Amino acid sequence: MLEIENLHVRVDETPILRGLNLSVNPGEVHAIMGPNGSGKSTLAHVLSGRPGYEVTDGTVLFEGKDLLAMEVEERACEGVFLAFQYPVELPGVGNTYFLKTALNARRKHRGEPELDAFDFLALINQKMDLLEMDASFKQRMVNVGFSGGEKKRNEVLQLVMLDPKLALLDETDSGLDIDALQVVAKGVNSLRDGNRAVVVVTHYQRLLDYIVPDFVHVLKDGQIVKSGDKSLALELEERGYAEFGAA
Amino acid sequence: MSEQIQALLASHGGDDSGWLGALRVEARGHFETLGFPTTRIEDWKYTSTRALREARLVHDTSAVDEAQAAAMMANLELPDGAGRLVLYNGRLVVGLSDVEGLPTGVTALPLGLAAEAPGFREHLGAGLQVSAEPFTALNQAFLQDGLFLSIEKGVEISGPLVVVHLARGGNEAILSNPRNLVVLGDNARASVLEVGLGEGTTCTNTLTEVVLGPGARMDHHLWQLGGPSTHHVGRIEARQERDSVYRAHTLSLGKGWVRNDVVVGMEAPGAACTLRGLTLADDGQHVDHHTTIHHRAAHCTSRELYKGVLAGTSRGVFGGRIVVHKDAQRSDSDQSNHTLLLSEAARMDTKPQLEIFADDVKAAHGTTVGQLDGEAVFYLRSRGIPKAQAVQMLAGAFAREILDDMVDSPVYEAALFLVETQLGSLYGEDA
Repeated sequence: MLEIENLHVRVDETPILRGLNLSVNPGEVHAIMGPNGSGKSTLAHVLSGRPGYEVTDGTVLFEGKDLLAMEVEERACEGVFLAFQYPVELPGVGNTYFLKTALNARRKHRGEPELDAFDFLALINQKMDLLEMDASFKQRMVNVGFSGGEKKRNEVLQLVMLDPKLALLDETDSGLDIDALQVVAKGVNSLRDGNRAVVVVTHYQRLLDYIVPDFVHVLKDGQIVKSGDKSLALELEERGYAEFGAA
Repeated sequence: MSEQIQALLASHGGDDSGWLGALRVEARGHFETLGFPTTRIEDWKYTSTRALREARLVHDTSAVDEAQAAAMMANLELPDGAGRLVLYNGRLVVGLSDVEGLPTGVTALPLGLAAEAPGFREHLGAGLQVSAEPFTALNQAFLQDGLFLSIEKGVEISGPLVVVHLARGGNEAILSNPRNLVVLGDNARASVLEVGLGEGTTCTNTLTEVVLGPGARMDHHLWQLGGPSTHHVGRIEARQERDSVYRAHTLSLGKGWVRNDVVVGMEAPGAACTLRGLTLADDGQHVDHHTTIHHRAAHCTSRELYKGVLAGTSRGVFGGRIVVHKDAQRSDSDQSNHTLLLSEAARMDTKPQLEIFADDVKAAHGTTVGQLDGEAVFYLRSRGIPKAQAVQMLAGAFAREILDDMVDSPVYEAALFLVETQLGSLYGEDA
């Protein structure tokens, strides 16, 4: 599904990713771990198409297509979703309107008819139940005045509504208490059906108790320096990133 | 006096008999002296009338073309009103107007038939500065038609009275000077919607006088939808008595050149006014909102919020003057002007002006000029929403705030529809 080869990325002339290789197949959950500044978030951002990242070498194929050549919205419509570490507040833009517009943009891209109001409502109600979200979220402005946990929950609501093929979670666990963490994990796990893939970027092992990865990769100085199964995450939790030369 | 002004004033074509005629003659004299304002005048520093001076405007004296007027209005979605007055190049279109069937205590007349109506002569032009304000003088020099609305004490009309200003230039550039007078008695309530539509080279110089008795309340809606070569000069002069409420929402959504002046005098304690305005503009447009609020008595409240979304090479101007006079203790005023620039070439000039001569006063003001938040645009795009649509959504969210205090108004839906349509045509996918 996702083939990253020898990816080099610079931010403001500073090299961040230096020859990253990663292969993600349908149905797999990959965790990218690593010390601060190792390039974890850069990987998530560059895959989503955020401006400000300069790819100097390497290729990224998503289902065989050149992901890096696509516009931001095109990537999303093709099925890539980034759950933001810091979700953006949109004053004056209602949550329901936002979700409906996004969903229909994707359907339009696929040549499907727009979802009518009733089908949309049924879908959002079902997903909000799954995430134990209060109905008032529908009326609220996107992320405005939301607590940290509410914002993350709202990210996961978007994730399950837009139903991507590849979900990228950028530090989705940061700032979450244990209850919120479980709900977020429930949402992400609801996508695991053998066809979709998830890449979890995280500093801590904690989230991986709930979203159990098939593969764990350690990112250091812009390269994957070690890969393993879920036990690698536990090992890192215990021993830290010290053996990779960082605190 | 320039040859152009001479030709313009000579085109009035009306008779100057009666007291209205005398007002016209006097005003012509004032306009001959004043001429069109230039950018040397402080209030006109950022707005040039050069195009008006060069357009060789004339007053339209041909017969009113009702079919043409009806065609111009064909696509206009108007809310149901209590009555309607349609003016074509400043003159009444009888077939499209209907101000009958209003409740007892309401007088609604075309201005041309109002000369002898009670209250008309007493209030018309009272408090105007005909000798100092060029466009006021020009309006009065051609004083001919518009709406006279008078509501007796305690009477309320439910729907808005709608005045449609149609302007159409042909081989000649056409000047029209609609004039409205609204007089509300004690505790009377009314809402007036003025819609301006224009095509070809035109200048519509409207002047609306509002007189609010104690406890009266008026909602005034102004929708400016002129085409690319149109010029719109809109002036409101409101005088408020004790505990009266005046609210104005000006939506400048057209494609032309616009200058608005709202002047409010709160003359007695407890009066309150709310002035709100929205500009949506793209290439070649120029929209200027000037407001003056006089707190002349104690315990009056004024609220102002003007917003603009400027794209392309458009220009916006805001001049907001608030004068708190000597005895106006406990005045409470709040003024905000916020502008979103969608292009490098768009320009906004904004000038708050507070003149405070009382000592126990609350006066807040705030101004921002900024660009769309790049993070917000990226966030929407990352969810699959195309860039143009993302810009439109964010600009819309910014702009709609202007309407958020009129959601209960009978004109709200139509106003929202206009704003949304204009956002789509200016900044949307197909723009």
